Amino acid sequence: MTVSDVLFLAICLITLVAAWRVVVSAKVMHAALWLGLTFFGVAAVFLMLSADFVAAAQVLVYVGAITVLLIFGIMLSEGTEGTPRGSERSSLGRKVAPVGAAAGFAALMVYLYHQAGLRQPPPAEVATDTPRAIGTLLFSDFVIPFEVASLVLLVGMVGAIVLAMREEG
Amino acid sequence: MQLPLTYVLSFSALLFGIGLYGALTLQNAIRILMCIEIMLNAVNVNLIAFSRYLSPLQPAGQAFVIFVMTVAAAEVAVGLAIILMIARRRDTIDIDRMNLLKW
Amino acid sequence: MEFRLIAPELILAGLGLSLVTLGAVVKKNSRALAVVGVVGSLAALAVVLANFGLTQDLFSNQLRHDAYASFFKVVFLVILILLFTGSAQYVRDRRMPAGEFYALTTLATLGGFLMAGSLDLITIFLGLELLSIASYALAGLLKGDPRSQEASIKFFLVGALTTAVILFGISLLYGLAGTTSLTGIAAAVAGLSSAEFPLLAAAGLFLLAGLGVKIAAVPFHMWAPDTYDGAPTPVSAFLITASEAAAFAVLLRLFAVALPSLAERWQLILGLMALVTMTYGNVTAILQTRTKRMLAYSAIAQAGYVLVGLAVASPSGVSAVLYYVLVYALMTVGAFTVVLLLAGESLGEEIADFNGLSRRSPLVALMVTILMLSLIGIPPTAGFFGKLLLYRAAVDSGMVWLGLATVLNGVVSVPYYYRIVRNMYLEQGTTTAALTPTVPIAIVLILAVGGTLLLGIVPEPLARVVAAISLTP
Repeated sequence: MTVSDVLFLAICLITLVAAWRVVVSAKVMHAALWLGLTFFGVAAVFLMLSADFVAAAQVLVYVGAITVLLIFGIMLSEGTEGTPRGSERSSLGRKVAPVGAAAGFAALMVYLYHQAGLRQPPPAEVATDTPRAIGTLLFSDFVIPFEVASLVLLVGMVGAIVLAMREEG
Repeated sequence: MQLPLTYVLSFSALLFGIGLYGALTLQNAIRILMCIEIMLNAVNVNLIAFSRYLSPLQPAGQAFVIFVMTVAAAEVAVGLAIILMIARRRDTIDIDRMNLLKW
Repeated sequence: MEFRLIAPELILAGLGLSLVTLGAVVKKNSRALAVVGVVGSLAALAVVLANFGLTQDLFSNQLRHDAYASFFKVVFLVILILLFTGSAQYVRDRRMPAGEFYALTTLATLGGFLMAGSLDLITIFLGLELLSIASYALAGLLKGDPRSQEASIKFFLVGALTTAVILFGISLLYGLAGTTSLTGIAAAVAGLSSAEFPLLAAAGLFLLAGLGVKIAAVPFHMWAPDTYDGAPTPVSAFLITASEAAAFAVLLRLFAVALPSLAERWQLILGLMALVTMTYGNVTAILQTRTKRMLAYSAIAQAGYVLVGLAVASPSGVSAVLYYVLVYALMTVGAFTVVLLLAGESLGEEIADFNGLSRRSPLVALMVTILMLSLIGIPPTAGFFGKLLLYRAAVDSGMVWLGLATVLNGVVSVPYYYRIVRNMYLEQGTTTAALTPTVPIAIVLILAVGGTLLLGIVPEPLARVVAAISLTP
């Protein structure tokens, strides 16, 4: 195991702990901050997988935009925090089923990956100029999805504005 | 880094599992949204990992991640707008309290 | 050539953009916007029909223009045109933001186009999200109505979760095949080792579950009755018809082109899913008292019928699905237009609002009766012929039990469709004032009911068209 292996595992661990804190924090604002750390952790994972451009985009979009948007949302719906976690859940089935689903999913996937024997280390050669490579792809093979993505953003914008706007009169 | 692919994929599966657990158990709509974002991040880790290990010179997986991020941003915007619209009319955004329609 | 073939998509995109802009200018005049929407959709329909027979892969295999995709595009546009025509008054009465309603519906339809016409998981995903994100906003457009708000948030949370699940499945497929193109996946899957096959099955399962949510198949249906009941009526109609049809378009193409080996192994699973879905929908619909909720459960049952065509995994199954999707769109839009008509006088929410309709307007009552007969599947309506095709497809591929289940379910569904007919003819209504549909609603009803009858009495021409459509060239 090299130093970078240990570093990678440490980042994974921190990310998982942060993600777990998003789920269990008592306060929704704390959860949002842990979410920011989770996004940073994932960005670090991207970096270690030599996806530097995507890592930068991850920081900009997820940490910079989505977390901030969520924090705005929390502040604007202030006072609506409602019940603390878990206080209204009584039936056993509704408690056990999610645990079963989530744990079952993770265990199954880990087992399947193990079975499939995907044990190879990352290949030595790696694309160096990733922004150029991704940009070329976006304007050649993926030009249709690229255009559709702009429509998705438009729909997101129109939908968000029309719903959040206060009614006049 | 020399870790085998299985490690990275397992990390992503655990991350997805945590998000799934939160999305299924939490009641506050904003926090459910956060958990769904964690799940989308896990998918992105998957895509980047496959791209790095299996086709390192052809970053189609990385381009896909850029699309996923775009969609996630649009989705969060609409989702928060819906949540705010509801928060303005009633004093809760707990999905358990929404029972005009039999859930 | 490429641009000629994606001209309908370009028209819809342009139409969506201009409707947003126009909506800001002519705020109050929903009728003008509806006219623009209908004209634009008609133009797109003309181009789709003109290009119908052409087959070509476009833009580095991101899109495939073939008869299969064109057929779905025709279905989407028929739905869009009928809904735009019939909903102007509802939009005005309920003070919905008109420009946004028409624009988002148009762009959602464009999403359906891309789902039906794509040969690549990335474009399928983006089309799906274009449709979904627009739908979340559409479901909440009755902003003051708590039911609409609830429909919207539930739809959104379930939909976003579904997106994550579908994406996980897509990421596994990409990992196994090294490509997102459906044909590339098909080639890679053929050479997969037995150790890797379970991963492929997991990927297929996630995609099936995710798309199962979109078509409201049991056990992924929990959100559907709430959303369809609470959303604005034209939006419910759009979601039940166009959105579900788009998900079916993807499911069929995915399993037939990319994962044929899974489709064959999963015949039994898909068949059971179809059986449970139709039975659950029909049995639960009997218990409902609200019109839209009943139609929502009826939609679940109808999705079960369409799943039969998916389960048989044969070309005749694909043809049957195509026929049924078009017929179902006509019947459902017709039924919802009657709800829109009654909504004009603040009625129609409860099934009891249909009481005495035959005395208020014999013609409308007759039309509703025809629609209900077709939904049950009684000749000479199109619903009968659609079910016949599904039944034959099931029997031909050796799934006799599934064919019989379809027939039996038709019987199970009689009580709740019949109840509406009985209410109209035998019950006393609260009012006996004559009910005259507005001209646009009358046009929609005539087209929907006329289409239902015509396709039932002379089914052969359309049956020949769908029989010639195949997914694997």
